[in-house]
Amino acid sequence: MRKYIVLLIGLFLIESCADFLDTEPFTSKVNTNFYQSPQDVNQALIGIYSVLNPGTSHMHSFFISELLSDDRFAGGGGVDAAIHAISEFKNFSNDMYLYPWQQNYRGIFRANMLLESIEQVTSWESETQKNRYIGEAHFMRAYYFFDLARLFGTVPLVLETTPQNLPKATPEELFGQIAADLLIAIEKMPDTPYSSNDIGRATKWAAQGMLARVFLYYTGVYGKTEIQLPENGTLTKTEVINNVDYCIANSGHELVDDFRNLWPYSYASNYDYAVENNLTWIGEEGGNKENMFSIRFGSFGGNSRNTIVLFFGVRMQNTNPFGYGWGAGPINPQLWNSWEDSDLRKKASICDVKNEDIGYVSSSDQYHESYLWQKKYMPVNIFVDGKLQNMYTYLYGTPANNMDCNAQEIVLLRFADVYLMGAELGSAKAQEYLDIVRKRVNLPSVPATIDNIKNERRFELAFEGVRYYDLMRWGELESAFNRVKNIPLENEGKPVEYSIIYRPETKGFLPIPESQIQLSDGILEQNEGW
Amino acid sequence: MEDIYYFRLIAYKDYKQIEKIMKLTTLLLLISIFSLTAENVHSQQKEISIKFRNETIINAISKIEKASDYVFLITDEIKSELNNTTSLDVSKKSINNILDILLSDTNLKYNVVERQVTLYKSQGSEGKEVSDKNLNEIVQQKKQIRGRVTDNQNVPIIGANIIEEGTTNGTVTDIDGNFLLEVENDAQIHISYIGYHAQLISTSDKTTFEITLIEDTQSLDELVVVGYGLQKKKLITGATSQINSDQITKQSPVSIVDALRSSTTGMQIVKTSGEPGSAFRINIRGLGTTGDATPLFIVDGVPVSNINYLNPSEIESIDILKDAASSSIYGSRAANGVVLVTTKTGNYNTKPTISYNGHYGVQNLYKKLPTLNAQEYAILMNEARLNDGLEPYDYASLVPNWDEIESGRSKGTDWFGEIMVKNAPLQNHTLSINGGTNSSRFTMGFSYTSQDGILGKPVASEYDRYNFRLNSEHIILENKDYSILTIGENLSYSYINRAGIATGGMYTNSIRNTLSTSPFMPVYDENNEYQFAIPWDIRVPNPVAIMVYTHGNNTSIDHKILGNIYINLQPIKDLTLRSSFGYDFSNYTYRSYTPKYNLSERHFRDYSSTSHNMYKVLGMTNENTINYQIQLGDLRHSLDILGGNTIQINNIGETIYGTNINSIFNDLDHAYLDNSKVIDPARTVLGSYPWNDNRLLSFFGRVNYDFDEKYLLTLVLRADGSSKFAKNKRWGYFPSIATGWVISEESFWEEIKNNINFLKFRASWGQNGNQNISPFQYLSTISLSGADYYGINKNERLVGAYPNILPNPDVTWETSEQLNIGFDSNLFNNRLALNFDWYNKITRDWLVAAPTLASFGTGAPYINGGDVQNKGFEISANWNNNINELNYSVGLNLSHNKNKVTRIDNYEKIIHGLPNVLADLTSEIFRAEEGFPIGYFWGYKTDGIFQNKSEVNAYVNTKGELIQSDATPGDVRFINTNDDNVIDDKDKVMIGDPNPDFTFGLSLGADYKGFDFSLVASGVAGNQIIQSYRDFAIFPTHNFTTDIFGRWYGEGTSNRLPKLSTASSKNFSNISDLYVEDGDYLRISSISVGYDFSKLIKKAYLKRLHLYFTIQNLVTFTKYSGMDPEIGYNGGVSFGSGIDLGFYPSPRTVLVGLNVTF
Repeated sequence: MRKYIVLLIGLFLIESCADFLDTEPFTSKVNTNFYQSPQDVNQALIGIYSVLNPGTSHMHSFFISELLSDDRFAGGGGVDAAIHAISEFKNFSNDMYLYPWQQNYRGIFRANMLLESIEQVTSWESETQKNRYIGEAHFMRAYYFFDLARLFGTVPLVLETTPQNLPKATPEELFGQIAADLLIAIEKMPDTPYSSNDIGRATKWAAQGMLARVFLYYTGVYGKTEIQLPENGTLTKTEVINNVDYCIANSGHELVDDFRNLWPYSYASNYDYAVENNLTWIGEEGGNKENMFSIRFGSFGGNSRNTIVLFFGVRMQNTNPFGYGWGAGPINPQLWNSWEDSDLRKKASICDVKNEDIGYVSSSDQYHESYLWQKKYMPVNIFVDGKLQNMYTYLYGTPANNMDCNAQEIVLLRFADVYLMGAELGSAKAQEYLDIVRKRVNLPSVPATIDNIKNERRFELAFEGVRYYDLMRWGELESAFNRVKNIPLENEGKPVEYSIIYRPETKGFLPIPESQIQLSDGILEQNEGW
Repeated sequence: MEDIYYFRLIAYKDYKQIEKIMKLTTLLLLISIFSLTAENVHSQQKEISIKFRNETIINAISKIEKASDYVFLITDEIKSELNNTTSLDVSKKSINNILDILLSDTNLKYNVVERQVTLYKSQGSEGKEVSDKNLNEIVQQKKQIRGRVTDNQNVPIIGANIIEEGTTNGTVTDIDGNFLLEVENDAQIHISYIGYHAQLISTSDKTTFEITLIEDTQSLDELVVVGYGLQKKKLITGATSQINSDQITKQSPVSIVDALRSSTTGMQIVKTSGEPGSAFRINIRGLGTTGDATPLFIVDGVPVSNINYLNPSEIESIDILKDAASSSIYGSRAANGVVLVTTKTGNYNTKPTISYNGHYGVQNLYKKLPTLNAQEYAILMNEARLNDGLEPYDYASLVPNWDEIESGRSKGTDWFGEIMVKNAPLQNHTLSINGGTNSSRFTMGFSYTSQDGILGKPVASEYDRYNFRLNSEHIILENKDYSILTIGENLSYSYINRAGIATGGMYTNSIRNTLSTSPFMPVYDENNEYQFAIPWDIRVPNPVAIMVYTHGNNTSIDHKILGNIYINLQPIKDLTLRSSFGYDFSNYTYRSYTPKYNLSERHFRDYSSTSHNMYKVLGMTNENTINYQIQLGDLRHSLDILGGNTIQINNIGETIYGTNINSIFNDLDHAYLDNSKVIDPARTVLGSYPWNDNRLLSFFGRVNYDFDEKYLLTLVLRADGSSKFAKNKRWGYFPSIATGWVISEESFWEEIKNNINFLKFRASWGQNGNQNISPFQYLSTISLSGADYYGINKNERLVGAYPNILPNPDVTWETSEQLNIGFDSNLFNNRLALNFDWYNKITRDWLVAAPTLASFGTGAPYINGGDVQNKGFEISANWNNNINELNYSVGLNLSHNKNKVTRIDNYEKIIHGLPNVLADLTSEIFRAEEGFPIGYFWGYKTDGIFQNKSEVNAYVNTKGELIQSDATPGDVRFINTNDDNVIDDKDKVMIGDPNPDFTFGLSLGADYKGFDFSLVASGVAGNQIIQSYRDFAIFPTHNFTTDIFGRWYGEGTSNRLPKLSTASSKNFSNISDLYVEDGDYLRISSISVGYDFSKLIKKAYLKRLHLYFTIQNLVTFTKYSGMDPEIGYNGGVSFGSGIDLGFYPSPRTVLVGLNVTF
């Protein structure tokens, strides 16, 4: 107060205005004085990871990827036309996919800002610390670009924080940069086995797994054999296989003994299936050594909640054990029918509500009702004091309402996937890798042929956000959707024969948000077929 | 005594210690070429100061008359003597001294009796004899009449002239307004007083008269407030509007803003809600920005953010500066216009008067929306079901008490009716004392206002306001001619207590909830507790219960102290220095309590919560001005030079807030955080933050020049430095120029001066600035909010950091540039005042957060990225006259404004409104776009309903392709604007404009022998409103209004509303012109009749005893289907408007009031 009065009086007397108009923000730092300590950098990294969390939006790339796949339909109610449009390859509105576009670029901008500013930091605890943070930033930038590339094809390659109106990069440029970022991440991040301290953070091992995923995707979709790196050099298949082999040998990651214990329903002692099979949930506190990289959620509801699980929940009802949601993503019966009963993953992954008595009643406005629901990412109820309650509310105190209660992590990269990618890439240990994955679910060894690996991926990784891109890189999108014809389903209680019309001219990519094309003054061009 | 008139009319205690009209003239109105001062008016020996050059004696006399209370009686025979010119510069001389000098070169003599000065020829005895003879005759034929002259507040008018018509016989009224005069038996007397309409009254039938003079608001000598001073209305070169306290109080408004609406041109005023205590949106001459378009409010020299805290009775006058030339002296923020509020003050040399003004009224809903009753609803819901090819509903299993409804014994629940409050009380009481001695004057006032809401039973909204005010001024040092040192202060304290229900957007809106909830649900269940959601739609909670639980226990208290202290120093004549320090402090507290409840699957809360928020914020202003006035060249050139600076710091403040759960008490009284003993990591919220102070440093200068009060010129330059911009972009320079030509002063005008008494042409051009954006846009600030993430511990919130805007170091002032051309005229003996203005206002370098490419990765900064144009005209006409003792006035005003965005500086050329405004899952419905009016409604145009399949098949584009291939009969035919084969976003066009083309007002006033009447009306035309009370996308079971009876249900049944469906169909979810209606209306906003009983009860101490009866919002003429066409909801974006989602309507109020003055 006195300061202000002195200012006023001082000004009146001497009219010195030079400093009077200088103010400073008291609750936020600015970019020039922020990145100064390792703590600042850590906070900036959290800011980069936080973009993974869908907040209150359901338009997260994981959700979109699942609905796009041939294994699932849109579901939801009659009012959910926007969701139906995803799985039917339609444009619901001009800016339908603005959210994933925007979110990924947010992550990229934050990573760019960190990489541009990190040299301001002088007080590193160790070189290892600095390298780890640099590696994480590169990993995340690669992750967000790869997410964009899978959804939209090629996109502008933004590597600076200075605003630029850029055209789409070529696939070579884009994937070259993604690979380069991952290679830096692999090099910079510590070569120490996985520990629970790494939960929610990128590691060298996740980067090696992602490198395999990126390589398989790029070479498959664009018909290449290697990735041209931005500064000379190429990334060859051999190098990728070496990374995978190294990762499998040294990462400290391993498969969880029982496949079913990966999923939260295994915790529900009120769920007959879990009890009969003597399941014990592996939890999210470090026991899950199979989890290499995941989206983490908090217990506070609101923006900390997992809305993807809410959308996948049973439409407007709480069953025992599956919980309330919007009924998105019913399962294509073709998947159920083609899945051998002898594979325990079938019932571990899908709930056949007509035969499993969970108290399910189809909601009167449910769309694409197939009476088959996935179990992996689903709200789970348990009995607490004789009343059904969400298990995360019980375990972590998430708000006890259907909207806010879910906090299940979403695993973006699972160690089983790395085994299968290693097999697919043609590692010398391909057969061993495939056998390890099958052995866990008591399946006999089969030769590591591409067809067997493809099947294995479909059943092992069902509903985990990879199926659609696998089809895309195998060139099988068209043939897969040609099969999705006249499927008997129910819409709002009425039987329908449902077909999905895939449009090959889109190559499976989504439309770029129209507003972005307009804002770029046409420098950005719309994808083919949209 | 002259000052009584001036203070009654204008009361500008704030600017000058104007204890004398002459001083006012000298100090502030140097435009005039004469100046005079009357001193010591309380003493018997009157002294006059007067100064003029080369005036005819007859003109000089009229100036002395105006300057003093002397009345000159002049016979025709001596008039020829009075055309000699003379000059005079005297100070504190007696009338005799002055007359001696004045008449020294003539043959005239004078005789002063009381206040009456008689002039006569001195040559020879003849003249004297004639004069004596006349006097004798008068004595012989006269009868004596007596009377009292008052104004319409029954305040005595001192010094009014009473002259027998056609003679020189006359007198003036004394200090109590009384007069005594001898006149011929059937004489007529002419009563006049400056600033009032003269009256002619016959004396034939009686000898005692009660005469009420009506203020002549069209008086050209009236002073109006301009930036940092006063100016004669006659000499104003800009476009301004004035409203005085009479115009405000006769409408008995709760907020003064209500009263502005009908009496000003160029202002658009809309309530943000009809709920008591709600804010207003005020725009002067159209929306010029996508940001905050609120004008700059200045109360007694202190800039404030709004004026709702004031009680209307505190106001003396409000002046609105509309064009750039008038407002440019305020530079910053003046781009949106300036509203200058002057509060009341006492007068020097006046015995204290005490007045009480109070009214009490009841408020009721003006119009109720007809929603469907249970039977109608059940039929239509089944119709929808059948349309979809489904079985009818099994209502018996879904609806409690279905048999009651089916049999017709129950009409279901009328939810809106449940929350209506009948006869909600409204009251206001004001007590004020004002008066003054010869060196001090003061006003002390206390008022209390209380208004209950008409909606929200059983927890209806309420509003209580207490105001206290003390204004005083003291002359510390004076010399004979003027006071050298004056100190004064204005201090006000207000206490406002509010509680309210949810209004505004669609998600939490108590009114919308009652309109949309199905009539099937009972209010109470069998245990007489609030009904839980029924199987009919388990998602929908009981709207009354939700309102009670979530908005039934809240209170907000606002303490506001606003004041300024000023010092005026006049070291030499004509030079005034003034310095003031203004202080604006608010302390706001909000508390609420929300109990546990369980109303539906989705609406429950298994813990109670208590919130307590508090902020205090302070603003300080220091203003220093220097004013010098000179006359040159025979005093015909007049210059008034003002220079000054202001230093302003706003937003010095901090907020602290907290929410905790499971209090040990269950009510609002105990809603304090201490009563929750446990900190819950997920639900306990605690925080505090400082406000970012804004600083502004300004220098300004103004020159007013006039030649002979005929040619007028004003030049202004202001420089503002704002802390909101980067160092090299801080300063903005805002010039303006204004000219005027009083053509009626020209000699060639003389012939028509009887019809057109006054005509002035004005033209002005100028620029103003706007800096109303959040600070630090020039830096890339690191935000810590909205970037939380979680690691191994789900209960540990990891707070991330990220740059939340792209820095824009170039961001600087937005400039509004305005050209204004107009005229002011008085016609027919000043009975008709006609004013006209045309303007073209272009806001350049708009401060907009225009969308940028998402690939930039963070928030768009404000850029100076657009232009918007507001163009229009304003006409006002006021007729003021009397027929004998019937005084009446008619005022009409009309404003036209056309708004157009002319540039948006990104490739898309659009600034988007928000999605999900009209209903959930709907796309944006309004936007600002180049080439269109700001905030226009964007959606599909429709072309009727497909009546049958062949119409669907006939709807093809030029290539013959089907456009709506999936349509069925009963669906809406959307207009395909781009000739492709699909209806999509690219077909959306402008479907409405919420900005009115015209706003208008009408006021009628009359009084007759103590009776008075007034009527005020206002309205708008040419705007549209977009309306939906249903969440049609998510909740097909939401109720309808009876408009739905006009739906399509078979070929030929309707060509406007589509068929019903149980699901969300494009018919409804495509935002189209089906949701848009015209918003034109004319509202009789107030009608009032009253009588002043002091005319009957004649007591000396009782000056006024006025009883009145007022109806507000008597009738609204409109085709708009909603409850109130005045929709102030903006869709969550400052440039949006006209969105009706269930709007709290303004009540109809019937009130009775009493005004007593002692």
